[in-house]
Amino acid sequence: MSAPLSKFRPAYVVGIGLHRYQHMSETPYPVLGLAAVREALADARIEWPAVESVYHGTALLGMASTRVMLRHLGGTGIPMQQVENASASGSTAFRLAAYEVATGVADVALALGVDKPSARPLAGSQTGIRGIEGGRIAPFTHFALLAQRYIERHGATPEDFARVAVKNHGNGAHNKYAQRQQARSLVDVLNDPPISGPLTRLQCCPVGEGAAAVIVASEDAIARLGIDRKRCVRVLSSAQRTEVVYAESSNFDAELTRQTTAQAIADAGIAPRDLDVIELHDAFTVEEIFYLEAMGIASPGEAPAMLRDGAFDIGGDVAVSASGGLLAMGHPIGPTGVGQIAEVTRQLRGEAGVRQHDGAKLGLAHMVGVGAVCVVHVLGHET
Amino acid sequence: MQATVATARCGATSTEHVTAVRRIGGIVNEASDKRELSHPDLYVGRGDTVELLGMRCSACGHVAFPRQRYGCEKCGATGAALVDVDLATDGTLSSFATVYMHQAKNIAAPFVIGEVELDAGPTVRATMVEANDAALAVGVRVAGRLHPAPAADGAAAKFELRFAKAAS
Repeated sequence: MSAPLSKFRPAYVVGIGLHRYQHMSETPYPVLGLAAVREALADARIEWPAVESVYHGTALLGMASTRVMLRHLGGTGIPMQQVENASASGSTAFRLAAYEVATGVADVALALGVDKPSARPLAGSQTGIRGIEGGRIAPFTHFALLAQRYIERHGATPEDFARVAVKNHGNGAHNKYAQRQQARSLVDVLNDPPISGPLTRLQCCPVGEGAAAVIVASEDAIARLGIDRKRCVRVLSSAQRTEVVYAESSNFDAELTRQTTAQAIADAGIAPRDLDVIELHDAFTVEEIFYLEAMGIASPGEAPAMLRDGAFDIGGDVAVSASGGLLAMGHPIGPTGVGQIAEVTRQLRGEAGVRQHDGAKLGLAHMVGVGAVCVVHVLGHET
Repeated sequence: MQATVATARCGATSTEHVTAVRRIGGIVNEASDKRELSHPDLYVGRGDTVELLGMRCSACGHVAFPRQRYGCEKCGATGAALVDVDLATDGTLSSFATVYMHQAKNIAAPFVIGEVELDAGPTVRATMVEANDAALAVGVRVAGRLHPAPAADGAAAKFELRFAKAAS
């Protein structure tokens, strides 16, 4: 019998830190990771020896990446482990850290994400089961096929999808951690080189390198370490699911998102439209449309009109991808899910500067990973 | 060099493309048993048609492609419960996408990918014979056929399964 996070003691995000997401460079990965961890420690105003456990979300670095990086903080002998769950690696690392603190196994746990691009093939291509696609369906074509179905069903236009990129690039322009920091017009997005179906280059996320770190702590630790309670954000729920056999021709990414988000929202004791900020898996523009409808933020077919009316802008009904999302902030794989938690925390604290969605109290972070897996967290600020 | 040749092939006008397919198709019909397939573990030629090598779970009824013996994805049944079935490739186009940029070595963009709801049950995705999507629409009837696979210069021609709009 699985138990929701709410069954255990409260767990809080008390520190966040990032290294900017960027194009692949010669920078060794410890430089990225150590910058994020040191920033998170400084943000929480605690020292490294207070951390009791590390979950490091990374998909591409290879075996045994964590200890050889974090030894430069001064070895304390604590347990450390890599967590690989495709694009949801960082989200899964955060979930494990939150459960470890909530269940009392540790008082302070670090969720970290560090990655650099690699050409290593997915295990899914080595199961011994081949398909007739012949390697010709890259992720952008998978989502282009889903986009065409959506166009047929709801009468959507390429502009409807492109507006997601306009919004998210606009948000990313104000985020110093974002890989893409340039606002783009609708014409810029539509006239960009075509990739697949209705998707242009600016409607596909960049996969680069970077790091994100989040420190999770119990109430005991907050009191003992003198952490500022006003800057603590509670983890209200955590849900994780995997794909099953759905009806033929269903949008399995959206169906998996619908089920996982419904569980996270129910466990948090809220309704979808209570949410103030959402960071979701907008690796491709069309995904933001699919997932907002799957989450119950918009009715089926309604998301493009709401987007056009500004409902998902910072200052709108619910700020979606205020960080710039995967489209502008970037998608370095391991860090991405942890970076979402950092953004939601920053928003709920009211510390997001020009990107601040006023009065944000409830936030949701959502990642899907190829395979397919889905991880959703709901965070809330109590003061 | 290979990329240049492939690009030229895809860049041919639709008239030239159709002619080429018909000419090769004629050769195929004369010597169908000699067709070398790109993936003989996935499909088989049957005269003018092609069938997918699928499976049916006799425990839960789930029909799936491709064929495997690891266990049913829906109910977990294995062993004798998993039965080989050959699936006709007639179906309805449920989506399509023109791919303008792709890193695959064995095909040059642009090309068209189709998603097909087979009458036999599963939904599959494969390359379309059509070089562009001008004649395609969701809901049109399509069928699989063996189509010359892009080959390196000098390599023996193989045939791969593609879908094409059915003759009306």
